[in-house]
Amino acid sequence: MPKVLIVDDTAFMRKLLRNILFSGGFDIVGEAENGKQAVELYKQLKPDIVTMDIVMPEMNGIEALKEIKKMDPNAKVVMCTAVGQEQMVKAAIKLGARGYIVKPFQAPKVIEELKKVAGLS
Amino acid sequence: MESDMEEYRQEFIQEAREYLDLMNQNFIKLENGDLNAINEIFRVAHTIKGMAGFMGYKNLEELCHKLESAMGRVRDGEIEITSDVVDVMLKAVDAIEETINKIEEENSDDVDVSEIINALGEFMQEGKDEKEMKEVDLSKESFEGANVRVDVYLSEDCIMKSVRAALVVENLSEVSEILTVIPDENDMEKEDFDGHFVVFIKTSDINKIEEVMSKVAEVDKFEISPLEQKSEDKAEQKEVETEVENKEKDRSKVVKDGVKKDVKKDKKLESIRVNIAQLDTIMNLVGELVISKGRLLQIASEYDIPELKEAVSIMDKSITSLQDEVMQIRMVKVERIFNKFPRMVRDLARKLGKKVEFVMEGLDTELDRTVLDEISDPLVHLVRNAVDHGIETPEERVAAGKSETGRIRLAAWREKNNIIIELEDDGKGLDVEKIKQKAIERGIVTQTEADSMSEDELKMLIFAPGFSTKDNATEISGRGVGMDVVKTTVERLGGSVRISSKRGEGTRIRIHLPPTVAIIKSLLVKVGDETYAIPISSVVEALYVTDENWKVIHGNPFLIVRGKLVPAFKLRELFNVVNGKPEREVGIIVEKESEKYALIADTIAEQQEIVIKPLTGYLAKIKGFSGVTILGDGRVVPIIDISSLLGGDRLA
Repeated sequence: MPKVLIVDDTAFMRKLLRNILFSGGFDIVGEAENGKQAVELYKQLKPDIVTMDIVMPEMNGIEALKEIKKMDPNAKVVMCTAVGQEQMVKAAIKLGARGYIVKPFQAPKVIEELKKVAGLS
Repeated sequence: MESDMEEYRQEFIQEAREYLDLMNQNFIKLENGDLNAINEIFRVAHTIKGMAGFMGYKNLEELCHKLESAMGRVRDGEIEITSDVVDVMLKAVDAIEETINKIEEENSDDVDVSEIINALGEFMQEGKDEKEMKEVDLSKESFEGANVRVDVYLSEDCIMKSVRAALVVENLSEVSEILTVIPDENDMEKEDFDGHFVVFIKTSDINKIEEVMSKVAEVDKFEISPLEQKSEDKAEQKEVETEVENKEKDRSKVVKDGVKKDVKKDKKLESIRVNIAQLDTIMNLVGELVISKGRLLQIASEYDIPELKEAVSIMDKSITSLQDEVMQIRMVKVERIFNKFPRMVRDLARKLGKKVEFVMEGLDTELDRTVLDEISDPLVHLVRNAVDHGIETPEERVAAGKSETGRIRLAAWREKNNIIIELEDDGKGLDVEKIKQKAIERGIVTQTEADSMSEDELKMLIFAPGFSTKDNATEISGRGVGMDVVKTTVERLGGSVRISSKRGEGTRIRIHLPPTVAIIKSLLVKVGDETYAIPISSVVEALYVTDENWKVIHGNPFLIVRGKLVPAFKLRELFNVVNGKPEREVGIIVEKESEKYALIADTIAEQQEIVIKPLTGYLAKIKGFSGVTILGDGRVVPIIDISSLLGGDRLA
């Protein structure tokens, strides 16, 4: 079971992802509310995958991605995004994001994406 | 699933509201020139949009989307921030709020938002993309220097195809050299990009390409075709479609094993969300424990069992700690209700043509949630009053030699065991003469009474029921909550209000509140077979009623306490208790607004910590009680609320 760290500033989205991922057989090891926390928790928890929201207070998802990649170049970060943020996601991909999921989330798609990124199928 | 959605809905509503607050605050900041606020608003609109999208609230999603786009233009400097612009945006925020309310009440976001969407739309002459599409030639067989051609077909339902393509290209670039991608990035962003694209690469290891491709989601199929060229050809030319499955399975096993080892460690969550109702239940249970403890103590001393006494005293410690902890959890920062004020003050001031600088201090001060909820409406009223009645118009202010902009300060802090909330304005202050006249006009006091009153006492008259200095309650202040409600609410919570004001210089209202109210010390008294609880905070002393200290003047009974006449109220009569009259009654002297009153009961049963269980629904309207409590033996006992029992209609 791949370990997942969920990063999103809304409890709502975290809960949603938590439920989706749980049903997909993932092990949710932690949740962060902003980029800063995400970086901290990444260090502590060493998750296999991070789902990273982009627009967040304190430190946004792109910055957090950079930090995490600095720490661990092999980190698998999946960006959470919405229609209209294409350019930002592309930037994230250039920075090493391994995938992206689009809000509103569709459970099967989210699970597929994470499984692919984790190397399961 | 139904109930699941319901759960999400609740959470959605709660969180969306918090975000709305945040939005309101940031608009005020924005108007005051804080440009960081733009990003915040943008973010919040975006967040609500995302949540609404998931919940299927299309209207709300659209509204947030429009607001977000408008904010985007503000951020890019394309729209200048003026009060008018902020007005329109705040209207959008209100519309969002209205929609959320509707969602809460009817689970529908069917609110007519077209007007506001149009208004927002005016900010946005949407840029029309030119849609000329040049023919993309995918049939190109080869590319200079490339030794492999990868054909990628994205699945039909793939969202943001161009991003997915970018992801594929990026992943490929890690194991090969990308020579070209057809169509190019720009063309992929166009709507009619069908998801089929070709990447020409140079690589030495086709297996790696295959591996990388299999790790990208939303790829319907891919074909890797080595190109016949001078370069080191890998002999196997094969078309790999999605039937790489077998290999993948093996690979995933390996990965699984590798991961399993350190799955279960470092699980740490620093905070969790708790439903407020649950917290209330816990508090109630703690209350019940406190009650049972009282009962045990009673048994222990009645039967004189030392072991039990010892056991209970240990339990007592745990319960006290538990109680403290739960109380602590229930504490909420005043920020929660203060945050809505800047927006309110702004709107009001704009409507009234006044200029107001609004300052808040001590936002971290904590109060019990119940106290905070109760005090919310009264505070709204006070703040509105300060803007409406306190601060003068800019012209008046200038004429009075003051700065054009008025100042209102709302502060909270802790002082010993009290929480103090202070509202201060530098407006025109209270007009004592006017208050006096109005009070006499309204029959609240007589001329003689008024003449004998000190200035402070006269000022307190604004808290009397039925008092309002403006003849027609304006839309702003007159909302059914009068100053009297402010006072009774605060007093019911066990606090007090004080007002000080100087003509022409301003007004200061200071509210003292206990930090918590759920558990109080009380005096249990008996009348016939009935038991009542009186909060100890309002009890001054108690004495027996004798022939000597009982006096009836003009039909009104008085108890003489150290030479002073104290109006007496027989609980027996107030509550129509008929049975068992004792030989000797007892008078409990209570204080209300620094006046003393005597409540006459049969006996004092004991002094005890009780847990207030508020009355709800119709019962909440009964005057004279602040709630009930349950005693150790299960009896339900009403808690007397001195200020409503003796206040208002003056039961005497």
